[in-house]
Amino acid sequence: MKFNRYILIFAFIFSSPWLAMSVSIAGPSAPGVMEKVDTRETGETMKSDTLMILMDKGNQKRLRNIKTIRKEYGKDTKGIIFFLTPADVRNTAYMSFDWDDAVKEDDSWLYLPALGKVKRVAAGDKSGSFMGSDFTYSDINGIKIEDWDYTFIKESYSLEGKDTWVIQGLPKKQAKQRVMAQTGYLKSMMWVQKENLVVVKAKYWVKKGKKIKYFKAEKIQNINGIWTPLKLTMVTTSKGKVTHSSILKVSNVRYNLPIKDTYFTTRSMEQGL
Amino acid sequence: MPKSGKRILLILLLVLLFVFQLMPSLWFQNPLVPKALAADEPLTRTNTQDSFEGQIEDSLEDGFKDIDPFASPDDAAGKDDAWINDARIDDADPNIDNISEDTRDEMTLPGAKYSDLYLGGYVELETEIGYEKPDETLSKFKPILFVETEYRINRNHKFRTSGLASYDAAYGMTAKDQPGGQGLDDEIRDIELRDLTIDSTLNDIFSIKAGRQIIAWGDSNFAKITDVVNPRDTTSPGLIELEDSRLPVASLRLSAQYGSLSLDGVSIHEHPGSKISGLGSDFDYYAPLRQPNIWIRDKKTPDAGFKETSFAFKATRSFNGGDISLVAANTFDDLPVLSYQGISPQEILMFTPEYERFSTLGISASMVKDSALFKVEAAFRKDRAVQRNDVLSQIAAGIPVRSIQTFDKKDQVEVLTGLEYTGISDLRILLEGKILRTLDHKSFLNLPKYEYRTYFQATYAMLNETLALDLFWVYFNPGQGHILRLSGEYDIFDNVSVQLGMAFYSADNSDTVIYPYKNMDRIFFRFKYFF
Repeated sequence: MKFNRYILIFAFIFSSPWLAMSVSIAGPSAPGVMEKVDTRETGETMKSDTLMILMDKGNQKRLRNIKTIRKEYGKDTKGIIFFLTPADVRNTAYMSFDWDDAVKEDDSWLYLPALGKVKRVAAGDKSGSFMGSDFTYSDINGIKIEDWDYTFIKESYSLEGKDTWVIQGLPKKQAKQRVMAQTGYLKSMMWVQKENLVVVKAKYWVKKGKKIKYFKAEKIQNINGIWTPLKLTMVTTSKGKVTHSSILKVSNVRYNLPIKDTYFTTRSMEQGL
Repeated sequence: MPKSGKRILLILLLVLLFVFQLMPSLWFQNPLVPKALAADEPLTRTNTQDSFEGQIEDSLEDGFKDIDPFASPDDAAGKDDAWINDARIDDADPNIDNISEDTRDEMTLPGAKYSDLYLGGYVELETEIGYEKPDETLSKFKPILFVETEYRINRNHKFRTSGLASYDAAYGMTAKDQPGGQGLDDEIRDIELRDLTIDSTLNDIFSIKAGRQIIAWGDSNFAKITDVVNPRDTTSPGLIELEDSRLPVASLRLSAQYGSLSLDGVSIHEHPGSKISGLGSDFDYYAPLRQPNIWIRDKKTPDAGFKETSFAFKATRSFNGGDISLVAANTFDDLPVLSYQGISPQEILMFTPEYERFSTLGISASMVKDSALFKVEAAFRKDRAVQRNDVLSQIAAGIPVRSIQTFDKKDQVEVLTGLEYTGISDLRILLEGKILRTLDHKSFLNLPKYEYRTYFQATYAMLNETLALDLFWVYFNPGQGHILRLSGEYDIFDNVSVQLGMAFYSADNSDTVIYPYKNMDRIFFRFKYFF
């Protein structure tokens, strides 16, 4: 049952701090910047298609296609993902309710068409690979910024002609073990574009295997007033050599469409697209 | 060589084969990936190392050199930063960067762009070597063709059909070509309609799905407690993947979903019973009964259609962190009991496997805490037929054929608890244990008063989920033996996978369920190509 390797959590690409509305910040602090990045507008609803290109060190490529539907309920988020390819996971669906209340466990279900069964899944560990990619579930879902200490490495750094903040993130001492267990990261460094608060580049130090990962966001477009990167790349390196890389190409992004609540039911997972 | 020594050698062989399985990805490029994605150069840092290091030192200045927490000589800050200036990825793989959104669909796999009509499937070759049987080497050589199609008629109606055909050539190639019955014939050649359904959404609350389908209930991954609708394929214990084990039945399902409450009502119009192996199979279901003077005839299943309709109902309530379901059903048993037909002129005792009805009232619940999923399932079964073990004594005592009781109807209680843990990266651990108690138990029942079973599975995903190593273990009543399966599945390409594994059957007590299979240890290899 191959798809069991894909369980855990998929959140919603556009809930992560890679996106942000254009916000001007006067005299910001590093935590202040990250809070703005985290609390950006992402639309009440969103639909999109994503193509994942996974490349191993032998440069062999694998492709995955998913369709994502998300709806905000105040500070809570419900989302459902349908897998279109590869063929052995076609019609698989993943649904997640992401509660703002930290006391509440996020709710996740997985529908496996080969089994004909919707099952609840545990999603506590977010450090695992998302669908075999270099992105982890915590990359996709976003992290809790209150668990991290942020400091400026540089308050002004020109990256591709755009002014950025370069911010270092370290897990807070009291949350260090939990953060490392949940995200797998020891440290992060992010380049935040000032004009739109998009994290355009990042570097992550991974505890397991002492790897370093590099992230890059490109093709940033303003869609319905929301800055949206359409190409996201994550590369994993070990001892200075690339071991694996992944590209997410996002298309057909539509925000604030009317989406029925009935999309977010286990029956909807079974019925598919 | 003792059996344990053989197993160690075979496990070592398996590990070696896993290693060799990894090699193809290093040797050749996937010919099935569209050319648009074929990069000219691998993504190594050597291509741009010099220019990169210069850039990184210029641009990031000294501050970045001190941030590497690993501080190993090879991994010094900045020096491993082979990608951070985007030139490297783009230079190494210009084809990827040059793909515009307009041509996106050209580089996706078939089916990636959603279409109202879908046609796909797979070709699979299953091979097994029963290395413990002296007179046989190839136990299975079974090509399988699976084809599926889906058509979305409109927003509210979807049609789906799928089917498979298989032929096990091992029976013609080895000494396995013994006379067999219906069970064996089904194993040798099989044409099966897996799905033929129309799924309709009536409104925001109600939907209906009619046709041959699988309706999987319950929280257990292995045991069948409140999963009352579909029978299962039991022809190769421990070898059949879970997704292949449920057998579809013709049924009508009416569903209602209102918020977090869902209701399902199912009428079942086909009762094929679970697939069981026949005479001549390695896993002959009636192996303990095979004697020259006993003939077990082909199974007699209840009529399909409306006359023998079964019913099942389920109500599920989801809450934060868990789900709870109540199930009520009146269905035919998946496993048969033997009825006695008398003695043939050749003085052979004739038995026929038949299926009896029983009722189920069950509850199933799952709850999540961090990385753990806890599950509980319990069912009370009313009037379930349990085979008797004194049938031959009754016949010997001269009791008339019609008065011979081959089974008794008993009430049973079955309880399962389980834990699924995913808190260790890339590892999934699953443990389930169940107890079946037969109430008002009598010594002549061919079932112990308490039946225990434990399931354990550990799956570890490696190499960005292209390789999955799996251990599956089933432990029967204390002292009744166990089945252990070790396997590895490797995705050579997106649509080509291979699986290699071994299965061991251990039982020392001749009264145990799996004792007849104790010499059926085997190595298996599967190749699967999706189209």
